[in-house]
Amino acid sequence: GMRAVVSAARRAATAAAAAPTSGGQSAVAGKKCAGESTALRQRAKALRHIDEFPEIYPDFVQSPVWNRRVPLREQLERADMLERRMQLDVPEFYVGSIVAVTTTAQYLGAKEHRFVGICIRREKPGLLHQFTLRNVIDGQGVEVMYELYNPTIKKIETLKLEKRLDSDLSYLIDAHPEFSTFDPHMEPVAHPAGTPVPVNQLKVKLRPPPWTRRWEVMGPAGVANAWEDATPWYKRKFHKTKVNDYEKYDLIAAYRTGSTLEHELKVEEEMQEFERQRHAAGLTRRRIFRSAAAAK
Amino acid sequence: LQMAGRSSSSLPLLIRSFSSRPLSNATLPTIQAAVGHIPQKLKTNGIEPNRRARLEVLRKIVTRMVREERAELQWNRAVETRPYLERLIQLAVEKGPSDEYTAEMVEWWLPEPGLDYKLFDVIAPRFSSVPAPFTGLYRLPSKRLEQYIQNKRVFWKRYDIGVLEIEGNPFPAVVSTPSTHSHLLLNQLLKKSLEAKLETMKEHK
Repeated sequence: GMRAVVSAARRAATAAAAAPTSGGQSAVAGKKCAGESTALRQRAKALRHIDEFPEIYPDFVQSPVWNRRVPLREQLERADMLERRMQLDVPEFYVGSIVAVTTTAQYLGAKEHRFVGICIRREKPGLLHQFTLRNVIDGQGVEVMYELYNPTIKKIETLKLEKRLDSDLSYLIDAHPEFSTFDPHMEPVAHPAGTPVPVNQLKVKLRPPPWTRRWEVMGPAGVANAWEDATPWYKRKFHKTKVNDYEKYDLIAAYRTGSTLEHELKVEEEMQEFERQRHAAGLTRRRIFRSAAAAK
Repeated sequence: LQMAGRSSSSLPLLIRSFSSRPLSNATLPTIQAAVGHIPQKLKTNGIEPNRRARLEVLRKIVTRMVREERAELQWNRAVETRPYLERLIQLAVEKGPSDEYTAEMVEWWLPEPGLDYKLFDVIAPRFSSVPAPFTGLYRLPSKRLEQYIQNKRVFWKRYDIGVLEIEGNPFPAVVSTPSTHSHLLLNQLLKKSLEAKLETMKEHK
């Protein structure tokens, strides 16, 4: 009622105020809102902080389990991770991007094996970080989990850089096969540097139930008509299902599992210092700290 | 033991919400208040104590805090609510009302009409150039309240009390600084007269 009207009016007013009438004005408005005068924000600016850091470098983000955040172990792991990233070019990719991974294969003639698929999930912090690629090969759905810091990985290529509506595409296992089929010999699609990473608004159609998980309960954003496609048995069972949609409002639970700006700035500083040292040594010009969306 | 943020059912009949793309992009700084790694189980009056009920208790306290800017409450509840309040104010200061995530959080955490205006236009501007913490927590002497009488014997229950407040509130400070009264006229006159008396005594000697 009244509150919604006030909120809507406020949002409209703020949007109108933030509309770029002139560069100076919008910059001032943004500054006031963001509290940029604090030292932390100034440090973020100096380090050219990437806002999407947890999405681009999920392996450098601290463990979601509070008690497993050990600064010494993280520091040692980060040193190894940066070392590996100087040897292997790890491109930027998200869940929903199409990735090709070439691994060593001892018993194949060419001694290497290439797998192309859509990245459906990225898990685990530090050296344990893994990502799963999905594709349909000869009518059979295949999901391959790769550990990012596995030394047998020879090459990682992002064939198509994009995001989806969800950060976890596990529902593709219950979707029609055409949503998981990608040409193993597809050519890379170049992403123009400086442009934001596109979000594919595709809504996937699920196969007839039964499904591996209860997609109809908290339908992911990237699934079309999960509730409508469910059978009446599951819809009746919904009465007994304890749906906890309210958990997204628990700010501190999100804080405990999530990342902090101080940690991200520390890692960014480490990355840049490592890069500087290696470039000064003259052996490589490979860059670790970069973002496809950031303007050059 | 904290659960990782994955969509796996950990308890029977309980299904967690699937991880859709999070609305908020830029990461926020650490909360400058003590955050326990185990959430407290808050006692709920008559309602089944579960995670939803706990959030409701916290929401009521946060709403009261934004409305009144200072409150006296049970110590454990004050300790539990403080980081939530800090986070909400931090969101308002860093992101502002135009951010989708902030607007959704404020809409849920402050259901009373007019409080979103208060948070964004009254409280948040105080901290635009002031670092965290945005709240203060003080401990008061514990209170004992009469619970029941049995065979003419009174049984009490003791509660630890805390005061939670948002910085910059219009009330006088919780811990008052000791004030000096030397500058008051009467004291000045007394002082001068005593000094004069001392002078005359010295002259007499």
